[in-house]
Amino acid sequence: MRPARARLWLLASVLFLAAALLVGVLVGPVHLGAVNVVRATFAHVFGLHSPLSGSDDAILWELRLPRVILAALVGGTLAAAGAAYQGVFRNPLADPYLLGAAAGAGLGATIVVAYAPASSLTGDLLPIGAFVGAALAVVAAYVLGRSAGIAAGPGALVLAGVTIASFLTALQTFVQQQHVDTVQEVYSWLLGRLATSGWRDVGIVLPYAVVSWAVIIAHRRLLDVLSVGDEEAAALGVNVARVRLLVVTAATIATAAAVAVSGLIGFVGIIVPHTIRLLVGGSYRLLLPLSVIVGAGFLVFADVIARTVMSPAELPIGVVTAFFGAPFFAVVLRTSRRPA
Amino acid sequence: MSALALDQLSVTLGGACVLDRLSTDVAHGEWVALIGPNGAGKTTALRAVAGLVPYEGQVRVLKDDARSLPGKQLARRVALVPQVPLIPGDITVRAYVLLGRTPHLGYFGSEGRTDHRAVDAALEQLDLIPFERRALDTLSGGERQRATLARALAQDAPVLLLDEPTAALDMGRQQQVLEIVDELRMSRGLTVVSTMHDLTLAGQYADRLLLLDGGRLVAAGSADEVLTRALITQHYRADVEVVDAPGSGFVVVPVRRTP
Repeated sequence: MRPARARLWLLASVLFLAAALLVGVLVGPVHLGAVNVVRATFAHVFGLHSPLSGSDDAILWELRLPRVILAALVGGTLAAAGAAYQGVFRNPLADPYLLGAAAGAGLGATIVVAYAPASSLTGDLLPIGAFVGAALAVVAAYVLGRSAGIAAGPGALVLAGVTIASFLTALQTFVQQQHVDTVQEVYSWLLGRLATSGWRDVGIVLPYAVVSWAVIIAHRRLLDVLSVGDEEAAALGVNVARVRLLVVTAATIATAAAVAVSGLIGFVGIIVPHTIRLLVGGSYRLLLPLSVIVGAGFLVFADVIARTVMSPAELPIGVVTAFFGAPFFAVVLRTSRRPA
Repeated sequence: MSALALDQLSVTLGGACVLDRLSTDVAHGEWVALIGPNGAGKTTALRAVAGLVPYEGQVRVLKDDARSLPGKQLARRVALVPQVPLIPGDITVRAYVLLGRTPHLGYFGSEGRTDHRAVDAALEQLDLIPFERRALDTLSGGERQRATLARALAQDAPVLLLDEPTAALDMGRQQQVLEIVDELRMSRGLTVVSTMHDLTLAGQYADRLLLLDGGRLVAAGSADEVLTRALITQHYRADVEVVDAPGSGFVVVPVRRTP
């Protein structure tokens, strides 16, 4: 890819994200107006007077904006983590949940719902339970995979992830069976939601997301080197195990934070990087930054759909990402050409 | 002074000794071919030199003990082209060749002008300029082999290790690739160590042949010393005739046992 073309793709993706953010804050039962929304947002950021009325301003600043920002952070994180996992494992089907993050988060959330006293505290504990569950699951998978030997390559780690995920899912099912009353709450969490978000959730995800994006994008060149295989990368002087550990750690911590506030939103980590790969080629130099930007915009649009198609009811956002994402991916797959 | 010195190099894999006390000196600009039947330890010897398998004994690259060199330093001195390179299909030839610059870059570093110049030179020497924007998986086998060689050249390492550089190529492509390697050896002053199955070609291109069998060095020398009917029959368990063809060197011809 020529640098000029790469810059064009980056510009296009930024415009896509900007459009998504604007649509995200404009769509809703109360009409706010595009110009007012932009001016009010700048007013809040720079401590100026908002042009919107008090209630409209609250709708924008307390409801829509945090939700849209959260969707962007979660989408960018899942897409970047998916692309990073696909790179370090050289596995096109890798997604952010590959090493058991989903199963661990599911178990953590289920335990909180089942055993924590039913109070407002549950709402605070749920993200913590999910985060800890996801992180511990991946650590367990990593330790198990490493014990199989570095020589076994990335395959051993993936198998370890599958093993840990199966075990944790069994535990989660057991806990659910013991507490049938939790099924509804856990199920709705598993389907993914951004509904209850406020700035607090944004605050939870933001630091993890930004640090993880920075670490993953900083490894973009080394992920290209890994694409020639562990042994050849080692022959080029790369410490493969260290690169893999750093990238997996960054991707996992951010995924755990995203899962903690939004539940399990599937498909983003696969569809976004693959769509980009089909359009611009497989080099991680461009793929990773584009994944962050396009993933962010994609989830904002998905959330707009989730809250409008059956308004005032909401569809789980995980259903939307899969329902609209899969056919879109099929179209891209059929019509794409390799970049010249 | 030798470019590469192996001293009692031994490798044990899975409890089996696959390379047994191999010692040899490779001079600057020399082309040494490792020959021998399957499982003789040829590839293992190359991997040990590239620091990819643990070994006993010593490997010295340009005077220094290879073990004392950090991975990146070793990769600046030794470039390895594996027999079946893993080809990431959806990146361009240029991006692939650029990966050869990895040993010259910091952990988070990115390529500068010098690196792009090295890539330009490698692409040009291997006639890959017209292909530089093509995805690797749209290339033919011979073109891919050239791309892999270009990546190794971009590495700017004085020692080039080639594992079966002509495997899976037709006769014409085999000659082309070996001619290119020989040309690069001359123009860049490279030292080449290659494993080769085709004994005739090995004799034609290499200065010296090392015949390995069962991990041990059993014969070493020029083509007329190593490519003998007795040695080949004994170590390859093959019925052959060795013909001294004027202008072509020693041609190893298989002879059918039951006509």
